[in-house]
Amino acid sequence: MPDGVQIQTDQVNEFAQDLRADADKGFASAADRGADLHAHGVVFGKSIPGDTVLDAKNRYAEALANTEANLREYRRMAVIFAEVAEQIARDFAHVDMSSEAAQLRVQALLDGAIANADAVQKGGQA
Amino acid sequence: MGADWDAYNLPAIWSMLKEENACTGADRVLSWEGLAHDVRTQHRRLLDAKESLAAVWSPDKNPSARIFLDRMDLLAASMNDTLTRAEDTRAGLRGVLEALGAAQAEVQPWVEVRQNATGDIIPRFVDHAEDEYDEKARQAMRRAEAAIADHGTQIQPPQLYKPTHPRDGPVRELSGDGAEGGTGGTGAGSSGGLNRSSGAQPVPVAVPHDPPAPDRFPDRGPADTGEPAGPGMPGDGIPGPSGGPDLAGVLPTPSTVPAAGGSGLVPSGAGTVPGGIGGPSAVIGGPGSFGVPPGVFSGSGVGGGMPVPLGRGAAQPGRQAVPVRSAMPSGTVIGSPGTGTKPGTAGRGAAAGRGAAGQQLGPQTAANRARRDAAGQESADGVADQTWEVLDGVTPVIAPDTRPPRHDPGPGVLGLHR
Repeated sequence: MPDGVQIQTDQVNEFAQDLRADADKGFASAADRGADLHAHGVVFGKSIPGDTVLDAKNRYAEALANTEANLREYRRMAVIFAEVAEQIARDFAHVDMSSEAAQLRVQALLDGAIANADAVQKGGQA
Repeated sequence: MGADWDAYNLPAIWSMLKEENACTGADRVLSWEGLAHDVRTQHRRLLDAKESLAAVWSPDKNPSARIFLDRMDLLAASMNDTLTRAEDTRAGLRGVLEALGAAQAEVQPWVEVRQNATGDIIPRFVDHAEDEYDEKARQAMRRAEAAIADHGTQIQPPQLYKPTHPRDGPVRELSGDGAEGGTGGTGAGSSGGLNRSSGAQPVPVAVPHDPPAPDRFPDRGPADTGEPAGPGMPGDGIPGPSGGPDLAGVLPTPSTVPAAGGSGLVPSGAGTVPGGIGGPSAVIGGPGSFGVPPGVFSGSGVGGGMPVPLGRGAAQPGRQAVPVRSAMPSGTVIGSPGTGTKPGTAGRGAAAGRGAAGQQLGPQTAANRARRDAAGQESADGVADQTWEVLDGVTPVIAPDTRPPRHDPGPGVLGLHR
């Protein structure tokens, strides 16, 4: 194990695999539920006049939108965490890094993974 | 601010409520419950995974691990927020749907009853039957609105998840110290990855909001088509699709009804009564009076002779109102020679149509009374039935046969007289 970095790479790798499995199952299931609710939209008070009901509908619409977006992002982040953990386990097993360098390295890995995922997502939307 | 429910009558309110689908709403409540369960489960698993990771990559000994675990904490905190908001939203949605469902269940039975009241013989300005149901519906909606105001505040959106903490500054550039790796992506090892990530990006949800336009005069017409009746709009006297009479526009305002004393006027003129109670020729105040019984629209008698008992809001001295809400028998013609006085005697006064109208409409009143008795609507102390005078001292025209009766088989019967 490199000096200055105390990490059991096997277990980190195992963590990564578990998290990736969760992303494909549990996080995916929650995201699907959010998408289903989002697709149904606001289900009450279409023809009810007054600001009281309209306020409730606006709040519900925002709750749908934010919840669905969050659940979608959670799944994506779970994948990113899994990728970064796998990378950390690989890198830290062979590279001798000081604590400061390791800190920057982890941050860069996370940033890079997120940026990469963003680029893929934007490419898919284009 | 709540809705101005005074601007809506019962048909308009029902047109709002009938679209509410309790089954669909219940499905969404269950979906929120399932969603909260999934997020709760994943939140717990994420925390467990974080603990297990910290055990093999201690943040106390590795500042690098602290960065990673801090990011996981942000995710877990956001999941907890989303979970909490989802449970609150589920409860709020359920409360809103229950309030609307209760109003729906409350108002629905009144729709048909009001429709019957609209189609009965008694004009709305006389018995105000429709007004009673309109007001009940308004009260139901006010209660529902108050409940929605309470439950609606439980519906709260979660904060949008951001993968970085606000206190985190710009990501520092990683020096190229020869470390291999990165995720191999375009952003690996470069700065500003999180800055470029905007986090959760919500897709707006359309808010359906299409209430019927408020009616400044919701009481003018029943608007049984489901649309609120506006000034001069259908519902002000034009029979609806059901063919029931719609008198509000034909007989303009309730204020012309005499409240007491009987000197007021039923709106005169050619106010037709559509819907078949008198046929196209039925005219209130027109030729062929209905025969006004004593005590009903007595006085000038311009209102013709229709024996209309006064209902709520138009008490008649010396007589208790009898709410009769049944249509006349099929084929009955008000204003015909058989039911009132002769044509040409229209509007001469209350006495013009006595007797004949009473005899003609007597069975109708008896039938109504029988129906009321059957429905248990008559009060315990009894309600004075409609009575009116008949002329006395009329010389009999047909006298009884005084000849002794003869009972035999008659001539030509086989076996007799042979």
